[in-house]
Order: sequence, then structure tokens, then C-alpha cells
Amino acid sequence: MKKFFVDTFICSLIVGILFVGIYSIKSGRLASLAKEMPYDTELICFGSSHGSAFNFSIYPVESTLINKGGNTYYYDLQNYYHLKKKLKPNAIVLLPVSYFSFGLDENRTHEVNEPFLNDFYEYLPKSSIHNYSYRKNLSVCLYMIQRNFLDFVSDEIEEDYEQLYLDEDFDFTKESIERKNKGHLRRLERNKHRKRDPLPKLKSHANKRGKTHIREGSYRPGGEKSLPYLEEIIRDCKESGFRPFLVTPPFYKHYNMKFNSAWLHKHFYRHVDYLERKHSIKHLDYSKDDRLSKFPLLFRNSDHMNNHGKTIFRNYFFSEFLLDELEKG
Amino acid sequence: MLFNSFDFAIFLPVVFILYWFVCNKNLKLQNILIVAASYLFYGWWDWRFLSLILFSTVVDFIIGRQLSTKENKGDRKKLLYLSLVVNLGILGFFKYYNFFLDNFVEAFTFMGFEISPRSLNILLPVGISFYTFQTLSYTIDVYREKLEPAKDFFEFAAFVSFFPQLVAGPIERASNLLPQFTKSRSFDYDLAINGIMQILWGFVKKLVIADNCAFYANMIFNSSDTFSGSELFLGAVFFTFQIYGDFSGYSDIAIGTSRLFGFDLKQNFAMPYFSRDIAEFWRRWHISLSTWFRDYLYIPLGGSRGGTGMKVRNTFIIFLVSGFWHGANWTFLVWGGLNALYFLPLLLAKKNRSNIEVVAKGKYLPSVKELFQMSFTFLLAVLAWVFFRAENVGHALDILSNIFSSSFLNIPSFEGIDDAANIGILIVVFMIFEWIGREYKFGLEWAATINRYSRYAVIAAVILFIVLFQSPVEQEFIYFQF
Repeated sequence: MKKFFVDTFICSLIVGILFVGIYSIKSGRLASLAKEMPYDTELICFGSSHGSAFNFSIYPVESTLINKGGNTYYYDLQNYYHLKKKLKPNAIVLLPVSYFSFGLDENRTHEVNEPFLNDFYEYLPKSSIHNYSYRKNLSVCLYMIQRNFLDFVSDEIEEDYEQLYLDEDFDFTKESIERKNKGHLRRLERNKHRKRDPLPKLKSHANKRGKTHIREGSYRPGGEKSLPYLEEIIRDCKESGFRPFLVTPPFYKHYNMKFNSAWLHKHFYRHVDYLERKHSIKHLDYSKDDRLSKFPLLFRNSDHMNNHGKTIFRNYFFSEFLLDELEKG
Repeated sequence: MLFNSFDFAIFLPVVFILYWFVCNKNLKLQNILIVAASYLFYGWWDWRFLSLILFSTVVDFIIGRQLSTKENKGDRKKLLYLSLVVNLGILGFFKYYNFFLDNFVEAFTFMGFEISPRSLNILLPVGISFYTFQTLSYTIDVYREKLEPAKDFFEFAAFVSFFPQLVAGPIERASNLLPQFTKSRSFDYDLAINGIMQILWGFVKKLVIADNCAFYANMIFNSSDTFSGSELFLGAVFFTFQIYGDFSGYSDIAIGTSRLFGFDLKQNFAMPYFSRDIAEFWRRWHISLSTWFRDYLYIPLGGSRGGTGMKVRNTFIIFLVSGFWHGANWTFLVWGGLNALYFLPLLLAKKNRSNIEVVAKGKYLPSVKELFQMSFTFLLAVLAWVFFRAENVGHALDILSNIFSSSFLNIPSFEGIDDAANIGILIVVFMIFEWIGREYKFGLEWAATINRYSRYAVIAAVILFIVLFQSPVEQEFIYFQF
């Protein structure tokens, strides 16, 4: 029996040291962003994976993107409260709104056991986590060990990918942006024969994703609070002197076709219109922008642009909207 | 209480310490502790179901005692029937009431009569199929005078409710497990180490293999109309490994945990996906259930004795009942029937016992013939599992018709295919270890015999492997629904 306990103790020690080591390597993406976000940030964007279109880290603006795939307005609100102290007095706050977003409850409980909350447990205070659980907190530690190991293995590949866009010179007049974007598109079109045709995959993805998002957007139990959470962000922004805007990135046309106008009005535009009227807030809706939505080469899947699409979109967004807003600020 | 939960991570060491340090001097106290711990374990799901297992225990204990006092064959038979009626009645009510009611209503509707009886919102008690069969093996063996009835109620209650194997097996025979509760137990270091290795291997199977495969199997089966034939086949393969990892993983954890307390349970899975024919598969898959049906149903019906007609009848009965045991759905019956069809040609050709020894025994690699045989048997199993997983027979037939269509030649390209390919690599690594350990009782048993310091490294590596590669999405054990 003594030998067994000694063995158990030694193994536990070895495993414990390894776990603590891997756990401590680094923090998660959101935790790191929240920690490293500078004071006097001029622009912040929240939202789900659709918010990734609004990453202006290589543009001449002090900005942070703190989004998470499938995010809910409840956690946008918690992130906002957690980070608002780091915002410049009249900072721009971009609030991505997607067709499905108003149907989600705080913790996305329609997806059983989905590890959605893991990242938030890492840096948000307990009081900000909806239905906080100590048990869940312990399992998140194991998740972080797993994530750190997998990130460590794949880190090198990601850095090279990001570097692709850091060396470009940007000239931000509308005319030169238009020229630049059209040139980018022409190059893509010229070289498209070198890659597989993305259209069949986009169509197939649009079928599946459309069904999922209609289901999520129509989900009600708990979802009725999503609009008030978004409203609270907007209200607090206005009171704090920030400039909030609702934004919707471009979607590929086949994804848009999956939502009929009646459904969109009931589950999306009705809420957006209400917010626009009540809080005098603008909705910058690029969801069906023909400069992007018609081009399959710009999309990774039917509701997310690839890096080419994001580059072109951000150029438009920056030159058409952000530049003026930053000048006003 | 789930094995892969923090509750169990606290429960097990506490019970272990109480068992070996507080109760070790007294056998009765150890058995009482086992009963208390088992009832706590079981009641963690729903305390209301404790009454059922207690009732079943009391009834069979009394019947067992009565059987020992009755000489008259007729009286003994009545007692046996009473046990069968009570146990199977409870099982039948909780598991099959709504199934029979719905089919009854459908049959009447089909004939033009509208009836609307009340269906009940019945919760299926976890593990009822397992402990019911376990207690039945006791009364049947006592009736057959193969076993002395239990004298001590706590010994018997501990046998019925023994927490490691209570909710998902292995279904232990009273002749194997009950005597272990009547003998004093002392801590055996080698047995405990073997148990720890088996527990770890069980967690690899459940958390790494089964849960990761479940994600893709569920994604594909739940939206099967949007996937091509090749993708559906991939989904079926994922489910094949999900159910193996899930069920045999649970058995490994159960057997390993039992060893920590000095108990030796029977092996329940013996690398079934390395089987060379379906008969061998059924000697290696859920061994405790198939041997239960063999001993208590197949042989009493005449077994393989008698003419072809009787052999065919008995084979179908066994496989259909086995299928139905799994759940109240026509899919399980079809699954059972399909396996019967697979098995019959071997039985009739007297080739059902051709492959008794483990494949490629003493060799590193299988021969080409063995490889072909294993692949073919595996393919048959994959196709049969489609029925097991599908929502209904129509759903299963749709999936199979798509698998056997031209879209089977499409290259799978669903979202997440890269991650699915990574899971494929994990499966290959896992099967390599299973292959290496095929002459042992479980894939990691060889590590229980290496030197102590190497064993530390292996244990640390396995735990790290589990934590690093476990699925981020927790899945329930499949067999809890049975």
C-alpha cells in the first residue's frame, strides 16, 4: 500500500509540474488582448466571428478587436464594461450585428456542452460570467492546458500568415483605395484558374449555415434579453461620450439568399431599426454590398470573408467611414 | 455520477481510503461501505431510482433464500418465474412501455381505428438493463443449483449495486463476482497498478477517441441529408470508433476501478475490430452480454443442436433480443437482425469457430489474408452501426442508399474536414497501440509489467495525452441510455 501511495504521489507530482508549466506558457487570445489593450484606444470592435472583418491593427488608428466566434451580446456587454476604462474619451465603438445574433441567450445554451465560455473564464471577473460555476472553472484550466499546447504547435504558421499584410503601403484617399481594391480583385481573377473553384463549396456552406443561423436567430428562451444587452452598451457608450455604431460585414450572396425578407425583418432589421430610431445610432450595413458579396474569391465560407476579402473591405470601410470619424474625433 | 467528472475524482479516493484504511479489518464493514458508496454513486443521477434497485435487490435476495429451502421442482420454478416477472416487468415498463404503446396505436390507426391512450412520461433509470440482467443471472444460477444463495444481505446488495459496473456493465455473473464479496480482500499492489493502467486506457478511449469521434458522427448523422455518400461513410466510421471508445472505455474504467478494491471483473471487450469474421467479432464485443444471452437464452432454446431450422431460429432470436435489449426502437431490432444475417452463413457452414486465437499471434503484422478478413468484418460492422445510430429505420436506409450511390466517390469536403483528418490520425495511433496490446486484456496492460520508473513516464505521458487531445465538447456515455 505504501508503495502504491508513493507511486501515486510521484506521478501526480510529475503530471502537476507538466500541467503548471504548460498552463503558464501563455494566456488565451482574448485574455491577452484584454491585458495588452493600450489606454487611449481610439477604436474598439466587439462581436462574433463576423467582427473579424473589422480588424484595423495595421491601419493608422489605435484599435482593438475583441471578438469571439458565436459571441453573444451579453459577453459583448461584459467585455465593454471590462475594457471601457482603456478607451479614449470619444472612442469609436463598433458593434457587429448578424442575422442570428438577436436569438442567442447569454451562454448559448442551445448548444449543449459547447466550450463557448472557456475564454471568458480566463479574464472576466466571476460576476461577469452568466451562471458562473466553480466546476466549470476547473475544467477551463484543463482546456487552457490543451489550448496552450496546441497553440504552441501551430504558432509559427499563424505568424507567417499575418505578416502578409503588414508590409503594404496604404494611401487612404477614396480614389486610391478604389484603384487599389480593383487592382487586387483583378489579380485574384487573373490567378483564379490556379485554385479550385470556390463556388460549389460556398453554395453548400450557405445551405448548411443558413439553416443553422435561421434556427439560432429564431431561438427565443433567453434570447429576448439579447436586444436589451446591446441597448445597454449603446446607452452607456452615449453617456460616456463614446461613438457607437452598428456594423454588418459583407456576406456572400448565396448566404443572403437563405434568409427571406419576412424572417430578416422579424428577427433582425426590426431590432436594428428600433436601435437606430431610439438611440440615433447608425447601422453600417455591408451585408449585401455588391462590391464584395458577388465575388466568391473573397470568401472563406459563405458568411466570412477570407484575407483578400477582408483587406478589400477594410480599405473601403476605412476610407468611406472611419477616416471621417477619426478626423471628427 | 460520471467517471469523467470532478465529483468522481473526489468520490473515488475518498471511498478508496475508507475502504482500505477504515474498513479493511472487517469484511462486513467493507461490503456495507461498497453498498453505501454504490447507492450514493447511483443516487447522484436521480435518488428516486434507488428504490428500484433496492426493490430488485430485496426481491431477488429473498427469492434466492427461498430457492435454497424448496425441494419441490414446481415451487422452485414458481420462484424463478416470480423473479423473472418482477425484474423483466420493471425493465419492460420503464424501457418499453411507450414503444409498445406507440406501435400499438400505429397498428390500430393503420387498420382504421383511432385510439388515443395515455402515454407516460417515463424516465429510463440509468443502468436498469445491466443490473436487471445481473440479478437475473443470480436467481437463474441458484435455481440451477450452480450457485449457493447469498447468506448475507449486504454481500448480495454489494454484488447487485457495485458502483464501478452498475450503470454500464460489464454484466457480471453471480458465480464470478458474488464469491469475491464473501472472501476477505487484501490490497494487491500489482492488481492496483494494473487497475490504474486500465482506468487510464479507458479514459483515452472515452475522452480522446469516443468524444472526438462523436462530434463528427453527430454532425454528419444529424444533418445527413446535406452530406455526400463518402462523408456519410466517414460519419459511420466515426460512429464505429465512438461507440467502441465509449463503451469499451467505460468497461475499462469499471474493471480498473474494481481492481483498486481487490475485485476481478471479466473482460468485456477483446479488440473486436481486429476480428476476422463476424462470429469472432461477437466473441470479442460486449462479451458479458453475448455470453449472458448464450447461457440463459440460446442454450436453453437448444443452441446449435437440432436441425438447420432450429439453428436459424435460435440465432435470430438471440440477435433480435440482443438488439431489442439496447433500446425500444425498430433500428435496434434491424441492427440485431442484420448481425444475425451476417452470422448465419458461418454457423451453417460450421465456420463460426474458425478464428479462436488472437489474430497474428506472436507476429508483428497480419498476413494479407488476415488484413482482408479484418477489413471486411470491420466494413460489415460499420454498415450495421448505421442502424444503431440512426433515428429510425428510414433514416438509416437513406444514409445507406447515399453511401452506396455515386456520391460515395466524392472527396469529403465538409467544414472542419482538416480537424476530422486530425482525429483520423489519433484513431490510427490508438489502433496501433491496440494492435500492439492485442494479446493483452487491454491496450496498455504491457505498461503494468515494466519497471517502476518507466511506468511513471508512461503514466505521465498518457495523462498528458488525454488532457491535450480530449475533445473540448463533453459527450455522455452512449450506453447510459440502455
